[in-house]
Amino acid sequence: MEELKGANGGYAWEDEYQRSWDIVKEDDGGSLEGIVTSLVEARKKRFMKNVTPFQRGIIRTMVLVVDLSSSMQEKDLRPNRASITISYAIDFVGEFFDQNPISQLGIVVMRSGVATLVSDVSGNPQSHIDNLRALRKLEPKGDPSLQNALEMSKGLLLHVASHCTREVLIIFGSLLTSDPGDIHKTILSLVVSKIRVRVIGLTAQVAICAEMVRKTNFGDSSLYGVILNETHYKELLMNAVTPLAISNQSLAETAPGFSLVEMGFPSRISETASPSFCSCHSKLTYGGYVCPQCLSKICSLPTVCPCCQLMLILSTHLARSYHHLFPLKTYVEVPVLTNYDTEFCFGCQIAFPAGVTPLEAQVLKAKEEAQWGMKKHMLTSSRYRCPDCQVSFCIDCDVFSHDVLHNCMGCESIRESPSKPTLSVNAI
Amino acid sequence: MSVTGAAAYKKRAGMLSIQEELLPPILVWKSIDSSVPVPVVELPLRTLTNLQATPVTLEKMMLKVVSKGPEDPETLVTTVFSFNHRPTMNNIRDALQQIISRQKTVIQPGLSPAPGDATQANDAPANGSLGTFSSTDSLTEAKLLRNHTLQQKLLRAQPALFTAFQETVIKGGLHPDEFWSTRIHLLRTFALESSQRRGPYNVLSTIKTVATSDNQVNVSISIDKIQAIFEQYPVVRKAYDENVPKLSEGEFWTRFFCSKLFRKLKGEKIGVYDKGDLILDKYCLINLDYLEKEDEEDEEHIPRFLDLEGNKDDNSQKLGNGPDVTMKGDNNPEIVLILRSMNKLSTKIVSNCVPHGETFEELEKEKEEELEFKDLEETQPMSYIELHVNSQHNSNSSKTDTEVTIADADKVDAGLPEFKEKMKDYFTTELDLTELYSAPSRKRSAEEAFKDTIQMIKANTKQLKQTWNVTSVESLFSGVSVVNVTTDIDSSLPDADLETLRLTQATSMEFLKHFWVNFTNRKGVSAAGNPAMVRKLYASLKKCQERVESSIQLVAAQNPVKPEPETEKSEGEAVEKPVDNVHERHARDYMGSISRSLLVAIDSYESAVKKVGGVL
Repeated sequence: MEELKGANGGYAWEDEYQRSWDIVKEDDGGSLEGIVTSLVEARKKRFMKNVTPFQRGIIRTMVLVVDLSSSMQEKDLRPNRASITISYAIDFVGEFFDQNPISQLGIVVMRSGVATLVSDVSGNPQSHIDNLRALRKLEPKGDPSLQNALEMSKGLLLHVASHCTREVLIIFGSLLTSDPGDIHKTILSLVVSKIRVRVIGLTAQVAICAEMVRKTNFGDSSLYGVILNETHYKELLMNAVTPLAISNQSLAETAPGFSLVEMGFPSRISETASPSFCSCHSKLTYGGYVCPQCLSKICSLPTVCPCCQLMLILSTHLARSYHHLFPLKTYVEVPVLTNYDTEFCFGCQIAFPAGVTPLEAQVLKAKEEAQWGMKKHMLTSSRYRCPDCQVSFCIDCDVFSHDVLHNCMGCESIRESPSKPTLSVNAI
Repeated sequence: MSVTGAAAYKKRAGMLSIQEELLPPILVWKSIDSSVPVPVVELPLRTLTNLQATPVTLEKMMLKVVSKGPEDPETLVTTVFSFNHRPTMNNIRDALQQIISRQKTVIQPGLSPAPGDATQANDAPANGSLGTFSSTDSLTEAKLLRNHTLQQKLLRAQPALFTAFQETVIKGGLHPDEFWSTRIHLLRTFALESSQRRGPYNVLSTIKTVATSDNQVNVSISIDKIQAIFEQYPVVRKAYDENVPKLSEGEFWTRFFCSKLFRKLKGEKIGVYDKGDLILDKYCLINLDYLEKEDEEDEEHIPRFLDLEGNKDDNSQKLGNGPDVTMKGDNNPEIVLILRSMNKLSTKIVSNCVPHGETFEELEKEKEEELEFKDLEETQPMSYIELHVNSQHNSNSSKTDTEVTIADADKVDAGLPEFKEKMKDYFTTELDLTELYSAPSRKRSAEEAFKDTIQMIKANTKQLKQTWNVTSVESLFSGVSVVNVTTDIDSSLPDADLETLRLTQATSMEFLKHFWVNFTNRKGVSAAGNPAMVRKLYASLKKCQERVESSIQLVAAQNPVKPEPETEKSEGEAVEKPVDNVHERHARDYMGSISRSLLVAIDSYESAVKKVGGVL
């Protein structure tokens, strides 16, 4: 509900409509610079993310179910729901594998009352994207069937090993489902097989989806979202990129046990002289990776060894999945002051704006109010400080650290003095 | 209500009427004056081919009807009627026009599955629509392994898989269960795809008319849609049963989609002036409820007046402030009819989904759940398992190996002053970059390094490129359908020989896979419990080794060395003059990775056996 709150504390729809050209006004000197920078900064501030480290399954197996029933021809999203969904899904696949390199994905489509497998469960983003592109030619048609789609997803996820998560992400544009049987039974069977369902609705809340999400997620219905607009749609979709946290209830139900997963880190070879057959496709290739257990040659990583079924990854893949478990702490905005102790951004060395005296600040605020009639103040210190290393960053570096690096430049550059006891990471 | 009108034929006054009720339907002209011996004109409606009327601008009102001759269908007979009242003529003309267009209806064979539409293929078994989803239970591993027909179907659908099956199971002596056990997911997906059924839906609302450019209205329906219509509307089946031998199949459906019956069933409003269809509209009058009751033999038809249960349910007092929409007195009867038909359809669709065989308690529990106010319930805050991280400053830092860090730090600290000292002069003295190339001793090493780098980049690019090519194609052994499109790297060997090698490699890989699965106990089957299987597979691996060798020899024998072997080695690399058979060497290279894999597998088995003191 929080995200529906508008600027005045009321709901978004109670808010006064602000046209973009009303906000942008020249200041006394006839310059737009001040307002533009503050606008840009405001946009970049993401709302506070929960940064408590939770236990999450980072080896994921997900089935993406896309609705291609007749309701996806609606034009409330431009050009229509189906094509925006497909382009967002392509973005999602890219982002998913970027952040979860050791996970797997499959794609199923609901169309004319049946579910069709579009892309089999695999860890290769390119084939998924190609298959999604091919979907553009398919005209949305008929009714969707949640049951058929869920049954098929279940079938696809059934052989997945127990250390992997089983997830289904449904993009649902319709308000109905036309099923051959009892969907409640299917939902129960999903609960039994520990498959978690997440739904993104494009039209309105549908009771069966809410029930499905609640039952498969131990009573958590926050994984069912209905889009407000295109940006929100994208946001909901990208939320699914973060691995699901494991709830306390699920632990209570299953016996607490931590299994070790056997993995191989293959070494790269290159055969310049003569090619040889790879074991995954039986094609002639020059070089590749060699499984440490069975010495068979593989084309690409990560994968499961086609010969000895060992999971093969690179250590960088593990590292990339790691930040979900230990999210970087949110930087704290420094309040507006007369004097600051920092002049430059630690990351990019850009100069911060100078300090403002309280009197000046008040004048500025009053001017803002008078000029633009806004209750929100745009005046910022433009400094964002890491709570651990106390280093200040500009907003761009803040975004870069959180979205791309997932590491704090300040903390990483602190060299530990030998006298200090060094850190140890203990994950229970 | 056949269409009639006064018309003159050969200047004699008479009545022209279209009689569709007769069999065969005819167009009849009768003279008014029965005393005059003018023969009655009868034209079977089926023989009509063309129609021509004088335009409105002309005073003369004539209608020319062209029909096929009674004896010879090739000859066309023209009959001209003249009218003295234009609306009458128009009326008859319109009626005849409709009839003629109906004749022209063709059932195109392309009505059912459109090409390239994969989902359509699954539609055919979809409309049984009764019962529950049964395939769920049959998807356990054991059942899939036992389902031989399914396996056969899958093999037929995927030729590449069939080749693998042939090589390993039929020729190689691998147990079929073993073969399938590593491909359970393939079987399951295939079973799911082929056994999927569609849920019932409002068929008529999905039928849409498409107007074509030549002012014709096209309706395309598939066979399964027709079946669904029969299922949902028994009255259409009844109409079909009673009329179709008389009418042609195409004509029946044309009539149906033009009829009031269609609009009524679809729930559309029927205007008074809407044109209907003579034959099919009478089915509107049949009591639809009664007809449906006929199907259900166990339920007796009880007159509404006596039906206690029905009356109890229809009690408008129970509905709170207002009676049910369908029970309001001032409602338009048309709307009520539409609502009723929609309600009936929904009830029917829902009743198909009602879980059969549920116990009384379960039903009661469901009812109780329905009564709960779900929206008013407190939402439980979610709690997740937190990770407890002990760290001095940043949990993100991945420096776990503290010893190394400290040692490194010490080293850096020690070297720092020296380094600083060095750097002081570094920028004060001028650097001469040309020195690199001018000094002959350096030049050479630079060039060599350059060459090495280029070569390395080339090799890496090549490797990367083929990785991309190869991964974009679905594979034979990681499952899924096979697309045989990847371009292999150009090989000096003929295609047939390459295929031989490939097949040997693939077969060996299959055996290796089963060996490792059993040997490393990855399936959960205890290896100790199945040493016989591993032993058997070990023997097969030995055989594979022989096969690899023999296939290399075969390729070598089939491609004797030419006196001047062309340097057709890929990427134009320089080759030293071959002393041995270049093809054999290539073949051996190609099979290099599989031979190594086989060797490792055999070694690890032998050492494992030795460890436990067994005998090979």
